[in-house]
Amino acid sequence: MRLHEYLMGRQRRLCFPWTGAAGLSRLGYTLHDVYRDPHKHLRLAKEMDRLLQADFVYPLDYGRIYAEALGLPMLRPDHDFPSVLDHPVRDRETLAQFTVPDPAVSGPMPTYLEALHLIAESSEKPLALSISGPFTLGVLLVGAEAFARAIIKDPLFVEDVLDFTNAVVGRYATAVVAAGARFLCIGEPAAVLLSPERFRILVGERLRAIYDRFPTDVWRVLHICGNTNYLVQEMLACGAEGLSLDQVMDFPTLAPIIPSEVVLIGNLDPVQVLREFDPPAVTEHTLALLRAMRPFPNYLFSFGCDCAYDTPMENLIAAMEAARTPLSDL
Amino acid sequence: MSSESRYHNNGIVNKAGRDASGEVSQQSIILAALADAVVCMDEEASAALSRQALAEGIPAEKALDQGLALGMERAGELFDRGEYFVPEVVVCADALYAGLEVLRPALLKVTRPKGRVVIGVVAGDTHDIGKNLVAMMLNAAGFEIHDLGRNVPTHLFISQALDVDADIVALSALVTTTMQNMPLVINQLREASVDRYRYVIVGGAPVSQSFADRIGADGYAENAPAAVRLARRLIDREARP
Repeated sequence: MRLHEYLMGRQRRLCFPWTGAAGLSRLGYTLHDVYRDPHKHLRLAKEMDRLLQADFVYPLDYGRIYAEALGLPMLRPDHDFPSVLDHPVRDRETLAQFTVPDPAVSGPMPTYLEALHLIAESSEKPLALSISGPFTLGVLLVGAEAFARAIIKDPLFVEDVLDFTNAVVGRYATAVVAAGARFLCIGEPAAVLLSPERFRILVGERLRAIYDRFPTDVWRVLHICGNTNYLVQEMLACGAEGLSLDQVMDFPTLAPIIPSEVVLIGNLDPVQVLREFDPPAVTEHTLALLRAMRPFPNYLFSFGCDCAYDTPMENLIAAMEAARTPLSDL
Repeated sequence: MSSESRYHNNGIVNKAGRDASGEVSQQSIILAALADAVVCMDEEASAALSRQALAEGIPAEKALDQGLALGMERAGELFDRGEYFVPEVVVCADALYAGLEVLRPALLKVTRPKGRVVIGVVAGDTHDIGKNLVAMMLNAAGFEIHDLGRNVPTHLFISQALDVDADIVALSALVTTTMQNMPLVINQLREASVDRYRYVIVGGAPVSQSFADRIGADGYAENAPAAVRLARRLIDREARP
């Protein structure tokens, strides 16, 4: 069953929240407590499921897991996601020093995969998660500015980097699917650097190759942050059956050009609405979005991007409660 | 003039100026070719034309302002129109710097900067491509840049702004979880900067005009060319009491 078929015939919208690290404080965990302990990870997933009653279960995002497995220097805040501090790939020689991580043994991958397995086994709901895409990993390895420069000055080096990152992502994606992921979102935030033509060559074709390796019952989703209006056609062409888009995108305007078999996913504002407002205002904004998207059956309610770790839980609960409003009451 | 014909052949419209008699002067041809070299991302031509400009007696400041920097401005316009993207802008900046390296020794007097900008990515955030583009384009537009890098502690923005007497503090964040550090910088800067008003501008993928308004920033820029326009507007504005 494809994702858009899974959404059909419901009395209400299905909901999937990108809650980021927002649930950690409920359990008194740091991010790294959860990353290191699959049972704490399961407990967090269950607690978020109990509180938010989403239509999917999900782990704590680990967008930099490849970077950790590859041994890149990282910034590791206790309550926010890690990020890369240095970009060690300068040329083909430094690229050649890296090998494709084996998810069964490399860095934090096996522990995370065990957590995915536990979460998937614990629930009847589909397991949803996000992983970073090959282009974004390339940017992490080389650095955004250097990679942007190489796209023009040394395109063969860029191809080499992307061949490597495609192998990393492809291998890991296969492992997370084997661990139970049913809804697999590939995030390519760095792709907003590119023109549509370059996106097609450097991102779209490579994503399609990864998506094509998934079993047919795994839902292929693509997320890119920011204003992607100029990239939407290319995003549609890469084989994703769900597009998760940022809060800056105008969904009611965009929805008519999205094919009915592609699901549009988003895009309540995680900062201005979810972090800043109070629960009644969050409810109001959620209902306004749902009403605006009422004509489009291929819509899945979600947030535009990850929440900040200090997003009030009562706001998340308010959004999810409002999102479960029957379509007939909207 | 080989450079001019070269860029005509590449389909770039050469904006060569004319002197008072209506004739295209050699100087204006060189200046226009310098600008074109930047727009065409041609580092070699940028350096060669900069040498030629000096040989022809064009003041280095003029070659910079009316040649290289003008080219960067045109690259920004192409970016605004969706004809250029980040890779092109980065390589245009490389071409600008190739010419600037030639001109630098000849910049006899220190040209007065249009303004001093302290720029950085806020604490917790290591994504710096947007900040780098803004810094490059502001620099090309004549601003003095003090680039603090990424994951910059809040206090460092304040101390550096006071140390260099910055006119503008430019803050960047690329993720929703770190943009919350922007108001901390603004509030601390307002408290610490008692002698004069310093503008704060913000940008980055998750940042919006409404967010900028809410946190008390003086401006929001959607992209690097917009940041240059914003910085110019603020500097041109009469100093606040």
